[in-house]
Amino acid sequence: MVFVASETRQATDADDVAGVSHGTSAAGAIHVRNLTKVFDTEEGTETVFEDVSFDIEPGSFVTLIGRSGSGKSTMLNIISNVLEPTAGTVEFEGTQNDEVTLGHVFQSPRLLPWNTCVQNIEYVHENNPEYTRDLAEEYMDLVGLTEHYDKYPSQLSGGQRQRVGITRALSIDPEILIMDEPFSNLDEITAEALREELIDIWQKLGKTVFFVTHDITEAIELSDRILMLGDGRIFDDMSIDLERPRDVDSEEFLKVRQDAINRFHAIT
Amino acid sequence: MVGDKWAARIFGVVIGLAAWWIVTVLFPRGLFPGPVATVNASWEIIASGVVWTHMQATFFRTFLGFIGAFLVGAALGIIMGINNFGEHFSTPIIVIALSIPGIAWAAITTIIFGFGVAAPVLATAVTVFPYISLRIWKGVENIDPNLLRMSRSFDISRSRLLRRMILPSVAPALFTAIRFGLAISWKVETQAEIFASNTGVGYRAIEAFSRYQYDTAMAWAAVFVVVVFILEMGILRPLERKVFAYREEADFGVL
Ligand SMILES: Nc1ncnc2c1ncn2[C@@H]1O[C@H](COP(=O)(O)OP(=O)(O)OP(=O)(O)O)[C@@H](O)[C@H]1O
Ligand SMILES: [Mg+2]
Repeated sequence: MVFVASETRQATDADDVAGVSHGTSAAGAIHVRNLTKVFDTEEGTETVFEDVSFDIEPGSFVTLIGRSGSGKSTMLNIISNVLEPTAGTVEFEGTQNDEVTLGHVFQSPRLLPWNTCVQNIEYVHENNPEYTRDLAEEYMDLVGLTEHYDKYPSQLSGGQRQRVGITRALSIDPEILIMDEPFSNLDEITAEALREELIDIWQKLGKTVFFVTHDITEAIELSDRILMLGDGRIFDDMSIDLERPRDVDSEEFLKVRQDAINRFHAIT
Repeated sequence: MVGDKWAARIFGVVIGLAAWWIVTVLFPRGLFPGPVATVNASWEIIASGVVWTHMQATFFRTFLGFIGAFLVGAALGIIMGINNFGEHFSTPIIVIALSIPGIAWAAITTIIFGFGVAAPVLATAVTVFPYISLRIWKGVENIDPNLLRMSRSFDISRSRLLRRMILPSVAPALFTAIRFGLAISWKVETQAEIFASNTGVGYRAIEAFSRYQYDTAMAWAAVFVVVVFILEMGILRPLERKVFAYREEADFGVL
Protein backbone atom coordinates (compact mmCIF):
# COMPACT_ATOMS: atom_id res chain seq x y z
CA MET A 1 0.00 0.00 0.00
CA VAL A 2 2.76 2.39 0.85
CA PHE A 3 4.39 1.73 -2.52
CA VAL A 4 1.62 3.19 -4.64
CA ALA A 5 2.83 6.74 -4.98
CA SER A 6 6.28 5.83 -6.14
CA GLU A 7 5.29 3.02 -8.46
CA THR A 8 3.31 5.34 -10.65
CA ARG A 9 6.15 7.77 -10.86
CA GLN A 10 9.03 5.44 -11.52
CA ALA A 11 7.21 3.12 -13.89
CA THR A 12 9.38 4.09 -16.87
CA ASP A 13 12.90 2.72 -17.16
CA ALA A 14 13.67 1.82 -13.62
CA ASP A 15 15.24 -1.51 -14.45
CA ASP A 16 17.86 -0.80 -17.03
CA VAL A 17 19.92 2.02 -15.63
CA ALA A 18 23.43 1.36 -16.83
CA GLY A 19 22.82 -2.32 -16.25
CA VAL A 20 22.81 -1.68 -12.51
CA SER A 21 20.45 -3.96 -10.71
CA HIS A 22 18.47 -2.60 -7.85
CA GLY A 23 15.39 -3.31 -5.83
CA THR A 24 12.29 -3.09 -7.99
CA SER A 25 9.93 -2.08 -5.21
CA ALA A 26 10.40 1.41 -3.88
CA ALA A 27 10.11 0.68 -0.20
CA GLY A 28 11.52 3.42 1.92
CA ALA A 29 8.87 5.17 3.98
CA ILE A 30 10.08 6.96 7.10
CA HIS A 31 7.88 7.50 10.14
CA VAL A 32 9.21 9.95 12.70
CA ARG A 33 7.23 9.90 15.94
CA ASN A 34 7.46 12.35 18.85
CA LEU A 35 11.16 12.91 18.38
CA THR A 36 12.95 14.96 21.01
CA LYS A 37 16.64 15.68 21.19
CA VAL A 38 18.31 17.29 24.17
CA PHE A 39 22.06 17.77 24.32
CA ASP A 40 23.86 17.87 27.65
CA THR A 41 26.47 20.57 27.35
CA GLU A 42 28.84 22.10 29.88
CA GLU A 43 26.48 25.05 30.32
CA GLY A 44 23.44 22.88 30.93
CA THR A 45 21.00 21.23 28.58
CA GLU A 46 20.07 22.35 25.09
CA THR A 47 16.81 21.22 23.55
CA VAL A 48 17.27 21.13 19.80
CA PHE A 49 13.71 20.02 19.00
CA GLU A 50 10.81 18.57 20.91
CA ASP A 51 8.00 16.19 20.02
CA VAL A 52 8.53 16.30 16.27
CA SER A 53 6.49 13.91 14.09
CA PHE A 54 6.24 13.50 10.34
CA ASP A 55 5.95 10.81 7.67
CA ILE A 56 7.82 10.51 4.44
CA GLU A 57 6.27 8.73 1.47
CA PRO A 58 8.36 6.08 -0.25
CA GLY A 59 9.99 7.38 -3.41
CA SER A 60 9.36 11.01 -2.57
CA PHE A 61 11.91 13.80 -2.45
CA VAL A 62 11.52 15.62 0.84
CA THR A 63 13.67 18.51 1.96
CA LEU A 64 14.19 19.75 5.48
CA ILE A 65 15.06 23.43 5.62
CA GLY A 66 15.97 25.57 8.58
CA ARG A 67 18.44 28.14 9.73
CA SER A 68 21.95 27.27 10.81
CA GLY A 69 21.75 25.62 14.22
CA SER A 70 18.06 24.75 13.93
CA GLY A 71 18.85 21.04 14.22
CA LYS A 72 18.75 19.75 10.63
CA SER A 73 21.91 17.70 10.89
CA THR A 74 20.86 16.45 14.30
CA MET A 75 17.59 15.23 12.78
CA LEU A 76 19.43 13.44 9.95
CA ASN A 77 21.87 11.89 12.37
CA ILE A 78 19.05 10.51 14.48
CA ILE A 79 17.24 9.15 11.44
CA SER A 80 20.43 7.48 10.30
CA ASN A 81 21.16 6.12 13.77
CA VAL A 82 24.40 8.04 14.22
CA LEU A 83 22.80 9.83 17.20
CA GLU A 84 20.36 8.50 19.79
CA PRO A 85 17.14 10.46 20.24
CA THR A 86 16.30 11.64 23.76
CA ALA A 87 12.73 10.50 23.18
CA GLY A 88 10.62 9.26 20.29
CA THR A 89 11.13 6.75 17.50
CA VAL A 90 12.09 6.50 13.87
CA GLU A 91 10.57 3.67 11.89
CA PHE A 92 11.12 2.55 8.35
CA GLU A 93 9.21 0.46 5.89
CA GLY A 94 11.60 -1.68 3.92
CA THR A 95 11.44 -4.43 1.35
CA GLN A 96 11.76 -7.04 4.05
CA ASN A 97 11.30 -6.93 7.81
CA ASP A 98 11.25 -3.16 7.70
CA GLU A 99 15.01 -3.20 7.41
CA VAL A 100 16.17 -0.45 5.14
CA THR A 101 19.52 0.56 3.77
CA LEU A 102 20.42 4.21 4.03
CA GLY A 103 22.86 5.88 1.67
CA HIS A 104 24.54 9.01 3.00
CA VAL A 105 25.87 11.94 1.11
CA PHE A 106 27.61 14.51 3.26
CA GLN A 107 28.37 18.18 2.95
CA SER A 108 32.01 17.40 2.21
CA PRO A 109 32.50 14.21 0.21
CA ARG A 110 34.32 12.37 3.02
CA LEU A 111 36.43 10.17 0.78
CA LEU A 112 39.45 8.22 1.95
CA PRO A 113 42.32 10.25 0.47
CA TRP A 114 44.59 7.18 0.22
CA ASN A 115 42.09 5.24 -1.85
CA THR A 116 41.09 5.64 -5.49
CA CYS A 117 37.49 6.34 -6.45
CA VAL A 118 36.76 2.67 -7.08
CA GLN A 119 38.42 1.69 -3.78
CA ASN A 120 36.36 4.31 -1.98
CA ILE A 121 33.22 2.70 -3.33
CA GLU A 122 34.48 -0.78 -2.55
CA TYR A 123 35.12 0.36 1.05
CA VAL A 124 31.41 0.49 1.85
CA HIS A 125 30.67 -2.94 0.35
CA GLU A 126 32.17 -4.92 3.20
CA ASN A 127 29.11 -7.09 3.64
CA ASN A 128 28.22 -7.42 0.00
CA PRO A 129 29.53 -10.72 -1.39
CA GLU A 130 28.30 -9.72 -4.83
CA TYR A 131 30.47 -6.65 -5.02
CA THR A 132 32.60 -6.47 -8.13
CA ARG A 133 34.62 -3.69 -9.69
CA ASP A 134 32.04 -3.59 -12.50
CA LEU A 135 29.41 -2.46 -10.04
CA ALA A 136 31.54 0.48 -8.92
CA GLU A 137 32.29 1.37 -12.52
CA GLU A 138 28.66 1.22 -13.59
CA TYR A 139 27.62 3.58 -10.83
CA MET A 140 30.47 5.92 -11.67
CA ASP A 141 29.32 5.94 -15.30
CA LEU A 142 25.90 6.98 -14.04
CA VAL A 143 27.29 10.27 -12.70
CA GLY A 144 29.67 10.86 -15.57
CA LEU A 145 32.91 9.77 -13.93
CA THR A 146 33.89 7.21 -16.55
CA GLU A 147 37.38 8.63 -17.03
CA HIS A 148 38.19 8.72 -13.36
CA TYR A 149 37.85 5.19 -11.93
CA ASP A 150 41.39 4.95 -10.62
CA LYS A 151 42.04 8.53 -9.69
CA TYR A 152 42.63 9.64 -6.14
CA PRO A 153 40.26 12.24 -4.63
CA SER A 154 43.02 14.85 -4.67
CA GLN A 155 43.15 14.51 -8.45
CA LEU A 156 39.50 15.45 -8.87
CA SER A 157 37.63 18.74 -8.82
CA GLY A 158 35.30 19.55 -5.94
CA GLY A 159 32.26 18.68 -8.04
CA GLN A 160 33.75 15.38 -9.16
CA ARG A 161 34.58 14.48 -5.59
CA GLN A 162 31.03 15.15 -4.53
CA ARG A 163 29.89 12.95 -7.43
CA VAL A 164 32.01 10.14 -6.03
CA GLY A 165 30.33 10.69 -2.66
CA ILE A 166 26.93 10.40 -4.32
CA THR A 167 28.07 7.33 -6.26
CA ARG A 168 29.24 5.65 -3.09
CA ALA A 169 25.87 6.21 -1.46
CA LEU A 170 23.95 4.99 -4.52
CA SER A 171 26.15 1.94 -4.99
CA ILE A 172 24.82 0.18 -1.91
CA ASP A 173 21.37 0.39 -3.51
CA PRO A 174 19.75 2.12 -0.55
CA GLU A 175 16.01 2.50 -0.26
CA ILE A 176 16.61 5.92 1.24
CA LEU A 177 19.19 8.49 0.24
CA ILE A 178 20.10 10.91 3.02
CA MET A 179 21.79 14.12 1.91
CA ASP A 180 23.04 16.85 4.25
CA GLU A 181 23.70 20.05 2.27
CA PRO A 182 25.59 18.09 -0.37
CA PHE A 183 26.02 21.00 -2.76
CA SER A 184 26.66 23.89 -0.40
CA ASN A 185 30.45 23.72 -0.78
CA LEU A 186 30.31 23.87 -4.58
CA ASP A 187 30.24 26.80 -6.94
CA GLU A 188 26.78 27.56 -8.27
CA ILE A 189 27.36 26.27 -11.80
CA THR A 190 28.64 22.91 -10.56
CA ALA A 191 25.92 22.74 -7.92
CA GLU A 192 23.23 23.35 -10.53
CA ALA A 193 24.61 20.63 -12.80
CA LEU A 194 24.64 18.20 -9.88
CA ARG A 195 21.08 19.09 -8.89
CA GLU A 196 19.89 18.25 -12.37
CA GLU A 197 21.82 14.98 -12.32
CA LEU A 198 20.42 14.14 -8.91
CA ILE A 199 16.84 14.64 -10.09
CA ASP A 200 17.62 12.52 -13.14
CA ILE A 201 19.00 9.70 -11.04
CA TRP A 202 16.18 9.95 -8.53
CA GLN A 203 13.59 9.67 -11.29
CA LYS A 204 15.41 6.68 -12.76
CA LEU A 205 16.13 4.77 -9.56
CA GLY A 206 13.07 5.74 -7.55
CA LYS A 207 14.63 6.14 -4.14
CA THR A 208 13.27 8.08 -1.23
CA VAL A 209 15.43 11.17 -0.82
CA PHE A 210 15.62 13.04 2.45
CA PHE A 211 17.55 16.20 1.74
CA VAL A 212 18.75 19.01 3.98
CA THR A 213 19.57 22.53 2.88
CA HIS A 214 19.24 26.11 4.04
CA ASP A 215 18.79 27.29 0.45
CA ILE A 216 15.08 27.81 -0.27
CA THR A 217 15.54 28.00 -4.04
CA GLU A 218 17.40 24.70 -4.04
CA ALA A 219 14.69 23.14 -1.89
CA ILE A 220 11.93 24.20 -4.28
CA GLU A 221 13.88 23.17 -7.35
CA LEU A 222 14.36 19.65 -6.03
CA SER A 223 11.54 18.65 -3.72
CA ASP A 224 8.05 17.26 -3.70
CA ARG A 225 7.69 18.60 -0.23
CA ILE A 226 9.47 20.94 2.14
CA LEU A 227 9.55 20.61 5.93
CA MET A 228 10.50 23.79 7.76
CA LEU A 229 12.38 23.32 11.01
CA GLY A 230 12.68 26.12 13.55
CA ASP A 231 11.89 26.93 17.15
CA GLY A 232 12.42 23.28 17.97
CA ARG A 233 9.57 22.02 15.78
CA ILE A 234 8.42 21.49 12.20
CA PHE A 235 6.51 24.74 11.85
CA ASP A 236 5.43 24.30 8.24
CA ASP A 237 4.95 21.47 5.76
CA MET A 238 4.72 22.67 2.18
CA SER A 239 3.96 20.61 -0.94
CA ILE A 240 5.64 21.74 -4.14
CA ASP A 241 3.46 20.84 -7.09
CA LEU A 242 5.55 22.43 -9.84
CA GLU A 243 6.07 20.32 -12.93
CA ARG A 244 9.47 18.85 -13.62
CA PRO A 245 11.92 19.76 -15.03
CA ARG A 246 11.67 22.99 -13.11
CA ASP A 247 12.80 26.32 -14.46
CA VAL A 248 14.01 28.50 -11.59
CA ASP A 249 13.35 31.65 -13.62
CA SER A 250 9.76 30.85 -14.55
CA GLU A 251 6.93 32.89 -13.14
CA GLU A 252 5.31 29.93 -11.34
CA PHE A 253 8.63 29.04 -9.72
CA LEU A 254 9.18 32.57 -8.48
CA LYS A 255 5.66 32.68 -7.09
CA VAL A 256 6.13 29.45 -5.17
CA ARG A 257 9.48 30.71 -3.99
CA GLN A 258 8.01 33.95 -2.67
CA ASP A 259 5.29 31.98 -0.93
CA ALA A 260 7.90 29.70 0.66
CA ILE A 261 9.99 32.64 1.80
CA ASN A 262 6.94 34.25 3.42
CA ARG A 263 6.05 31.04 5.19
CA PHE A 264 9.65 30.47 6.24
CA HIS A 265 9.81 33.91 7.83
CA ALA A 266 6.52 33.43 9.60
CA ILE A 267 8.21 32.38 12.81
CA THR A 268 10.71 35.23 13.09
CA MET B 1 65.22 15.85 -10.87
CA VAL B 2 66.76 12.59 -9.66
CA GLY B 3 70.20 13.94 -10.59
CA ASP B 4 69.57 17.07 -8.55
CA LYS B 5 68.59 15.01 -5.55
CA TRP B 6 71.78 13.00 -5.61
CA ALA B 7 73.93 16.05 -6.31
CA ALA B 8 72.46 17.70 -3.18
CA ARG B 9 73.04 14.60 -1.07
CA ILE B 10 76.64 14.19 -2.20
CA PHE B 11 77.23 17.89 -1.69
CA GLY B 12 75.95 17.58 1.89
CA VAL B 13 78.24 14.64 2.65
CA VAL B 14 81.26 16.40 1.09
CA ILE B 15 80.63 19.54 3.18
CA GLY B 16 80.42 17.40 6.31
CA LEU B 17 83.65 15.55 5.52
CA ALA B 18 85.42 18.82 4.74
CA ALA B 19 84.33 20.31 8.06
CA TRP B 20 85.59 17.21 9.83
CA TRP B 21 88.91 17.40 8.01
CA ILE B 22 89.34 21.11 8.88
CA VAL B 23 88.73 20.38 12.57
CA THR B 24 91.34 17.59 12.39
CA VAL B 25 93.91 19.88 10.81
CA LEU B 26 93.26 22.75 13.24
CA PHE B 27 93.22 20.52 16.31
CA PRO B 28 96.45 20.74 18.36
CA ARG B 29 99.04 18.01 17.98
CA GLY B 30 96.99 16.00 15.52
CA LEU B 31 95.07 14.31 18.34
CA PHE B 32 91.72 14.45 16.57
CA PRO B 33 91.33 11.52 14.16
CA GLY B 34 90.49 12.56 10.62
CA PRO B 35 88.36 10.71 8.06
CA VAL B 36 91.24 8.63 6.77
CA ALA B 37 92.45 7.54 10.22
CA THR B 38 88.86 6.67 11.14
CA VAL B 39 88.35 4.55 8.04
CA ASN B 40 91.60 2.71 8.76
CA ALA B 41 90.63 2.09 12.37
CA SER B 42 87.17 0.94 11.27
CA TRP B 43 88.74 -1.49 8.91
CA GLU B 44 90.82 -2.90 11.76
CA ILE B 45 87.88 -3.57 14.06
CA ILE B 46 85.89 -5.05 11.20
CA ALA B 47 88.74 -7.28 10.10
CA SER B 48 89.44 -8.49 13.62
CA GLY B 49 85.78 -9.44 14.00
CA VAL B 50 85.22 -7.76 17.38
CA VAL B 51 82.77 -5.42 15.73
CA TRP B 52 80.10 -8.06 15.27
CA THR B 53 79.63 -9.23 18.85
CA HIS B 54 79.41 -5.70 20.20
CA MET B 55 77.26 -4.45 17.39
CA GLN B 56 74.93 -7.35 17.98
CA ALA B 57 74.74 -6.60 21.70
CA THR B 58 73.97 -2.93 21.08
CA PHE B 59 71.45 -3.71 18.38
CA PHE B 60 69.64 -6.23 20.48
CA ARG B 61 69.31 -3.88 23.46
CA THR B 62 68.45 -0.85 21.33
CA PHE B 63 65.73 -2.88 19.72
CA LEU B 64 64.35 -4.18 23.01
CA GLY B 65 64.44 -0.70 24.53
CA PHE B 66 62.75 0.75 21.47
CA ILE B 67 60.02 -1.90 21.51
CA GLY B 68 59.35 -1.17 25.20
CA ALA B 69 59.28 2.56 24.51
CA PHE B 70 57.01 2.04 21.54
CA LEU B 71 54.47 -0.09 23.39
CA VAL B 72 54.22 2.25 26.37
CA GLY B 73 54.50 5.39 24.24
CA ALA B 74 51.89 4.31 21.72
CA ALA B 75 49.46 3.26 24.45
CA LEU B 76 49.75 6.64 26.18
CA GLY B 77 49.65 8.49 22.87
CA ILE B 78 46.48 6.68 21.85
CA ILE B 79 44.63 7.37 25.07
CA MET B 80 45.77 11.00 24.90
CA GLY B 81 44.41 11.24 21.39
CA ILE B 82 41.04 9.70 22.06
CA ASN B 83 39.84 11.33 25.25
CA ASN B 84 40.29 14.25 27.57
CA PHE B 85 40.88 12.13 30.62
CA GLY B 86 43.70 10.38 28.82
CA GLU B 87 45.22 13.68 27.85
CA HIS B 88 45.12 15.04 31.40
CA PHE B 89 46.34 11.74 32.78
CA SER B 90 49.29 11.43 30.42
CA THR B 91 50.49 15.02 30.10
CA PRO B 92 52.30 15.32 33.48
CA ILE B 93 53.87 11.89 33.04
CA ILE B 94 55.21 12.87 29.66
CA VAL B 95 56.41 16.33 30.67
CA ILE B 96 58.33 14.88 33.61
CA ALA B 97 59.71 11.98 31.58
CA LEU B 98 60.85 14.36 28.84
CA SER B 99 62.83 16.44 31.29
CA ILE B 100 64.90 13.58 32.73
CA PRO B 101 68.11 12.99 30.77
CA GLY B 102 68.81 9.51 29.45
CA ILE B 103 72.09 9.36 31.32
CA ALA B 104 70.23 9.87 34.62
CA TRP B 105 67.96 6.96 33.81
CA ALA B 106 71.03 4.90 32.97
CA ALA B 107 72.48 5.66 36.38
CA ILE B 108 69.22 4.88 38.15
CA THR B 109 68.60 1.61 36.32
CA THR B 110 72.18 0.50 36.87
CA ILE B 111 71.84 1.09 40.60
CA ILE B 112 68.67 -1.00 40.58
CA PHE B 113 69.60 -3.81 38.19
CA GLY B 114 73.38 -3.76 38.13
CA PHE B 115 75.35 -4.75 35.04
CA GLY B 116 73.58 -6.63 32.28
CA VAL B 117 70.82 -6.33 29.74
CA ALA B 118 68.05 -4.93 31.93
CA ALA B 119 69.64 -1.62 32.93
CA PRO B 120 70.47 -0.18 29.48
CA VAL B 121 67.28 -1.56 27.92
CA LEU B 122 65.11 -0.03 30.61
CA ALA B 123 66.97 3.28 30.51
CA THR B 124 66.38 3.40 26.78
CA ALA B 125 62.70 2.53 27.02
CA VAL B 126 61.99 5.10 29.72
CA THR B 127 63.87 7.89 27.96
CA VAL B 128 62.35 7.29 24.56
CA PHE B 129 58.68 6.60 25.29
CA PRO B 130 57.60 10.24 25.77
CA TYR B 131 58.83 11.15 22.29
CA ILE B 132 56.81 8.29 20.86
CA SER B 133 53.74 9.34 22.87
CA LEU B 134 53.89 12.87 21.53
CA ARG B 135 54.09 11.73 17.90
CA ILE B 136 51.34 9.14 18.23
CA TRP B 137 49.14 11.58 20.12
CA LYS B 138 49.35 14.07 17.25
CA GLY B 139 48.74 11.26 14.79
CA VAL B 140 45.60 10.11 16.56
CA GLU B 141 44.34 13.68 16.84
CA ASN B 142 44.74 13.97 13.10
CA ILE B 143 42.23 11.24 12.38
CA ASP B 144 39.40 12.96 10.56
CA PRO B 145 36.23 12.63 12.69
CA ASN B 146 34.18 13.08 9.53
CA LEU B 147 35.73 9.95 8.03
CA LEU B 148 34.91 8.12 11.26
CA ARG B 149 31.29 9.26 11.02
CA MET B 150 31.15 8.32 7.37
CA SER B 151 32.45 4.84 8.21
CA ARG B 152 29.96 4.52 10.99
CA SER B 153 27.03 5.49 8.80
CA PHE B 154 28.05 2.84 6.26
CA ASP B 155 28.30 0.19 9.02
CA ILE B 156 31.99 -0.47 8.56
CA SER B 157 33.32 -3.10 10.98
CA ARG B 158 36.02 -2.29 13.51
CA SER B 159 38.71 -4.32 11.82
CA ARG B 160 38.05 -2.78 8.41
CA LEU B 161 37.95 0.67 9.99
CA LEU B 162 41.33 0.03 11.59
CA ARG B 163 42.95 -1.26 8.42
CA ARG B 164 41.44 1.04 5.84
CA MET B 165 40.91 4.26 7.76
CA ILE B 166 42.76 4.52 11.11
CA LEU B 167 46.13 3.04 10.12
CA PRO B 168 46.54 5.10 6.95
CA SER B 169 45.59 8.21 8.97
CA VAL B 170 48.27 7.66 11.58
CA ALA B 171 50.89 6.19 9.23
CA PRO B 172 52.86 9.45 8.83
CA ALA B 173 53.04 9.91 12.60
CA LEU B 174 53.91 6.23 12.99
CA PHE B 175 56.87 6.53 10.63
CA THR B 176 58.14 9.64 12.38
CA ALA B 177 57.75 7.93 15.75
CA ILE B 178 59.68 4.88 14.56
CA ARG B 179 62.45 6.86 12.90
CA PHE B 180 63.03 9.27 15.79
CA GLY B 181 62.39 6.58 18.35
CA LEU B 182 65.11 4.36 16.87
CA ALA B 183 67.54 7.25 16.52
CA ILE B 184 67.10 8.34 20.13
CA SER B 185 67.06 4.74 21.38
CA TRP B 186 70.44 4.06 19.86
CA LYS B 187 71.89 7.20 21.43
CA VAL B 188 70.54 6.46 24.87
CA GLU B 189 71.56 2.81 24.63
CA THR B 190 75.19 3.62 23.79
CA GLN B 191 75.29 6.22 26.57
CA ALA B 192 73.88 3.73 29.05
CA GLU B 193 76.49 1.15 28.05
CA ILE B 194 79.19 3.48 29.33
CA PHE B 195 78.48 2.45 32.86
CA ALA B 196 75.69 -0.09 32.72
CA SER B 197 77.41 -2.70 30.59
CA ASN B 198 80.69 -4.20 29.52
CA THR B 199 79.70 -4.95 25.98
CA GLY B 200 78.37 -2.91 23.10
CA VAL B 201 79.42 -0.19 20.73
CA GLY B 202 79.11 2.60 23.30
CA TYR B 203 81.09 0.65 25.85
CA ARG B 204 83.89 -0.07 23.37
CA ALA B 205 84.01 3.52 22.16
CA ILE B 206 84.40 4.93 25.64
CA GLU B 207 86.93 2.24 26.51
CA ALA B 208 89.04 3.10 23.47
CA PHE B 209 88.73 6.75 24.39
CA SER B 210 90.00 6.17 27.92
CA ARG B 211 93.03 4.40 26.44
CA TYR B 212 93.71 7.42 24.20
CA GLN B 213 92.84 5.39 21.06
CA TYR B 214 90.82 8.22 19.61
CA ASP B 215 90.77 6.80 16.10
CA THR B 216 89.31 3.51 17.37
CA ALA B 217 86.71 5.39 19.44
CA MET B 218 85.75 7.27 16.30
CA ALA B 219 85.67 4.05 14.28
CA TRP B 220 83.05 2.51 16.57
CA ALA B 221 80.80 5.47 15.99
CA ALA B 222 81.47 5.50 12.26
CA VAL B 223 80.65 1.83 11.80
CA PHE B 224 77.33 2.30 13.50
CA VAL B 225 76.49 5.33 11.38
CA VAL B 226 76.91 3.15 8.30
CA VAL B 227 74.60 0.48 9.72
CA VAL B 228 71.92 3.00 10.65
CA PHE B 229 72.20 4.52 7.19
CA ILE B 230 71.70 1.11 5.59
CA LEU B 231 68.65 0.47 7.80
CA GLU B 232 67.14 3.80 6.82
CA MET B 233 67.77 3.39 3.09
CA GLY B 234 67.21 -0.35 2.94
CA ILE B 235 64.11 -0.77 5.10
CA LEU B 236 62.47 2.41 6.35
CA ARG B 237 62.55 4.42 3.12
CA PRO B 238 61.29 1.69 0.78
CA LEU B 239 58.53 0.82 3.25
CA GLU B 240 57.52 4.44 3.55
CA ARG B 241 57.54 4.82 -0.21
CA LYS B 242 55.23 1.86 -0.53
CA VAL B 243 52.80 3.05 2.15
CA PHE B 244 52.65 6.57 0.75
CA ALA B 245 52.63 5.61 -2.92
CA TYR B 246 49.21 7.20 -3.22
CA ARG B 247 50.64 10.58 -2.34
CA GLU B 248 53.22 10.59 -5.08
CA GLU B 249 50.77 9.29 -7.59
CA ALA B 250 48.30 11.93 -6.50
CA ASP B 251 50.98 14.62 -6.69
CA PHE B 252 51.11 15.42 -3.01
CA GLY B 253 54.75 16.25 -3.59
CA VAL B 254 57.83 14.11 -3.20
CA LEU B 255 58.44 12.70 0.23
N1 LIG C 1 27.19 16.92 19.89
C1 LIG C 1 26.56 18.04 20.30
N2 LIG C 1 26.62 18.44 21.58
C2 LIG C 1 25.98 19.55 21.99
N3 LIG C 1 25.26 20.33 21.20
C3 LIG C 1 25.16 20.00 19.90
C4 LIG C 1 25.81 18.84 19.38
N4 LIG C 1 25.54 18.74 18.04
C5 LIG C 1 24.77 19.81 17.77
N5 LIG C 1 24.54 20.56 18.86
C6 LIG C 1 23.71 21.78 18.91
O1 LIG C 1 22.46 21.47 18.36
C7 LIG C 1 22.00 22.54 17.56
C8 LIG C 1 21.64 22.03 16.18
O2 LIG C 1 22.82 21.64 15.49
P1 LIG C 1 22.78 21.08 14.02
O3 LIG C 1 24.15 20.74 13.62
O4 LIG C 1 21.77 20.00 13.95
O5 LIG C 1 22.26 22.33 13.20
P2 LIG C 1 22.02 22.50 11.63
O6 LIG C 1 20.62 22.90 11.46
O7 LIG C 1 22.49 21.30 10.90
O8 LIG C 1 22.95 23.72 11.30
P3 LIG C 1 23.84 24.02 9.97
O9 LIG C 1 22.88 24.56 8.95
O10 LIG C 1 24.78 25.08 10.43
O11 LIG C 1 24.49 22.77 9.56
C9 LIG C 1 23.08 23.59 17.57
O12 LIG C 1 22.71 24.62 18.46
C10 LIG C 1 24.31 22.87 18.07
O13 LIG C 1 25.08 23.74 18.85
MG1 LIG D 1 24.11 20.86 9.55
